Amino acid sequence: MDKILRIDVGVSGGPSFQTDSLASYAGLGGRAMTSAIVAKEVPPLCHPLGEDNKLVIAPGILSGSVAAMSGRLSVGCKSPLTGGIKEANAGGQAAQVLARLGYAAIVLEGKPADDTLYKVLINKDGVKIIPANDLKMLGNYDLIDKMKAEYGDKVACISIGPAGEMKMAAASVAITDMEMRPTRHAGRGGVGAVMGSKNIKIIVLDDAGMAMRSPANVEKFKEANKNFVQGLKKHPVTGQGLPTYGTNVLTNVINEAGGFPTFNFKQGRFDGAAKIGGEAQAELEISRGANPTHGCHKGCVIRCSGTYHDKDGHYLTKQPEYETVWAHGANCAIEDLDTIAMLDRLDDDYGLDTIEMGATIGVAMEAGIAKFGDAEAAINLVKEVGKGTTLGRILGNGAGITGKVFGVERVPVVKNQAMPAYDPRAVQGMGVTYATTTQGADHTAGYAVTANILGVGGSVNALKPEGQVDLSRNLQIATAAIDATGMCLFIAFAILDQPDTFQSLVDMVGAFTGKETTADDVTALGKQILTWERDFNARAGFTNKDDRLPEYFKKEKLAPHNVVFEVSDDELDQVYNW
Amino acid sequence: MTDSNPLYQHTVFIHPNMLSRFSRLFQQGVLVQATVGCSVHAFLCHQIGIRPDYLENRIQTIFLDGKAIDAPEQSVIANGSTLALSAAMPGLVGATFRKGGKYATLRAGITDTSSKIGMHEETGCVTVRLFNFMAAEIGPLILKLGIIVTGRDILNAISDLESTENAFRIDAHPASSKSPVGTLNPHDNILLILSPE
Repeated sequence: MDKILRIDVGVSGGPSFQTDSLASYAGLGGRAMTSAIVAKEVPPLCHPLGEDNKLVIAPGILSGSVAAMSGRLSVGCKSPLTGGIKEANAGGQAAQVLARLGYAAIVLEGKPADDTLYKVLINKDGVKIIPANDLKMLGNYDLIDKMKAEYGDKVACISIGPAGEMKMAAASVAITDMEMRPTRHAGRGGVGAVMGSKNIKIIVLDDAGMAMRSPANVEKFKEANKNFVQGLKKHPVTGQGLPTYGTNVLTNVINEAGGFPTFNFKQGRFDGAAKIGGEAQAELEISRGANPTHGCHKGCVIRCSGTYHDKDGHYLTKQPEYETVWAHGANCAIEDLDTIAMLDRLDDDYGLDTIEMGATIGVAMEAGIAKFGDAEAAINLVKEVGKGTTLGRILGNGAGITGKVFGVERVPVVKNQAMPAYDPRAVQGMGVTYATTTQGADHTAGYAVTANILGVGGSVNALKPEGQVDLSRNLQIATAAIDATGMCLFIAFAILDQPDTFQSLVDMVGAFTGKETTADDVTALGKQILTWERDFNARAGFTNKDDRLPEYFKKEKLAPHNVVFEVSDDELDQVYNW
Repeated sequence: MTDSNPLYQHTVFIHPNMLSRFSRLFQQGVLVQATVGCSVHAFLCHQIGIRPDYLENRIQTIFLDGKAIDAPEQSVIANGSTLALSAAMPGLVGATFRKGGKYATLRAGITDTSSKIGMHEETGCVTVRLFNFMAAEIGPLILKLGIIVTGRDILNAISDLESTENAFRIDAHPASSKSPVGTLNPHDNILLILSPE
């Protein structure tokens, strides 16, 4: 992983490419790589769909090795949804394959000379960029079927669906999973629209003939990885809860807490929660011959991704994630798993962020475009997006635009990005992260519960009210650092509770890089990433006024606990005060 | 009416191999007659029969009336309370709701602060919800004590069964295979009890 592939789509006669050395980007991976390049090379005031924006695709520093759980791929750019810097990441096969091909990043840059669509093929022999107008407006599933027929089922693909080609701000970048299905998505912030603006439909990665990346200290790495896997398998979350039920195991719990946004964030509980929760979902999947225990990439030992079959026992989509079940379920008052699964399939096929789309349909329902609970109407609205009708183009540009067009006040966005599945009035600490993260409302921006064990920011007194701000800061720093490794964030639970598993991870990173890593190094990396991102956003025009939740979260009480968001603006302004 | 308890009209005993059919009920919540005015710890360990080490280690998240609790010995169950139990959950918010967890402050606004002051022990009813692994692991213990459900709950749980012979006993009578619980009114309240093996 010692080079960067740069594809300039603006060259006369069609895109050209060059391979650069890492230079000042050496040692960076994942989010550290994407945010470093965007911060340094993209003018913050540029148009997100214009010539000067760049789409950066980067595997983590451990990707491509045999390190378990190291398959996250980061996709970064200036976001067409937020107007700020963006890093969205996903599982699937592409990070491993791209890293084995030796690339630390692919950078798409420039402005296409015409409307020709291209596919990019990367293998051991090099890079080919091929006109592919026959792929125009294909959904991700049909697109991948064509690639499978042409290149076999051992390749990995990074692609966009029609939403990306139409440059919608809710468009995702799809990554194929182990069965070569386009089920894993770098969903947030409209990264698919930026790929669409470069006229690149798909990147096909073929690592045939390439070796696994080798660690600096093979034996020590092997031992550490073995211990790390054992730690993940013995922990109740990573070894039992997630494999059995997937992330949707959270539905009943968050609903019980009164933090499950329902009817477009009007209340915190949904009467139909038990019907769509992970327990019911896993039972239904098993009864139809699907599998709730399934990895999204080789080397995943948690296996939380799962598959979902229709009533006839045929594959329909991957197991919908908790966020998707909430967004298309409770938020729109839909209590039917088959409808939610169909919406998930459509989102994946069109290439759309399920969180943004569920939140958008919730806003549309509040506007009266459809009734809450109307499953058929919800499906039709997503189909409008796929077809690119006028209504569909409004919806496909997210909850913020939809709220403005239809005059809705209750629009759950920060920096114009829709909030995920935790109401910030019930879980106020999450609200601090929603408000202040560089990414727009994002639950994963402060997700690494390892902050304390890593020693990020020192020890926080959890009983002090201001602890919420301190914790959010530390979580955001730790998360930024883990996002640079290519590691799945779900490893955090095992390393939070099991010091020996944490030590295994540290040993594994050290054995791979050949450099001793300390908690101070992790903190410094996380702060550096956030500083790059924060600085980019400031130069793009963001101020502390953008680090706020919508006003109604401070005024409208959330049932059943009748709470409002109470963290003051002054406290929010302290998050980046380190 | 065969029982004198005003809370239910019939008693239905179920065979242990029917247990999994009632797991959905535990997610929605089942009513348990119990001594209230005691701590959550006393309710779970002394009345339900959960081992203290299981409560300490396996039950990671407890909600009392929708509020997360950090100290089961101090939070008090009242008549009409709802108690929900879960194993360890993923996600930051999953970690946030853990009892006594490092991230408890992130949900400070919805943390239980109930107190035993002014409470006294009496007979009452508690709604119990069991999520994820709790249904299979704790459900049998609670069913040994008995849960109050409706006739419709039972009918829904066995709607696709071809035969329920030997699976149920209603009051003192074995259920027939053709009309296993046909004598139950969907609106009746039923005390559902696990039969011994």
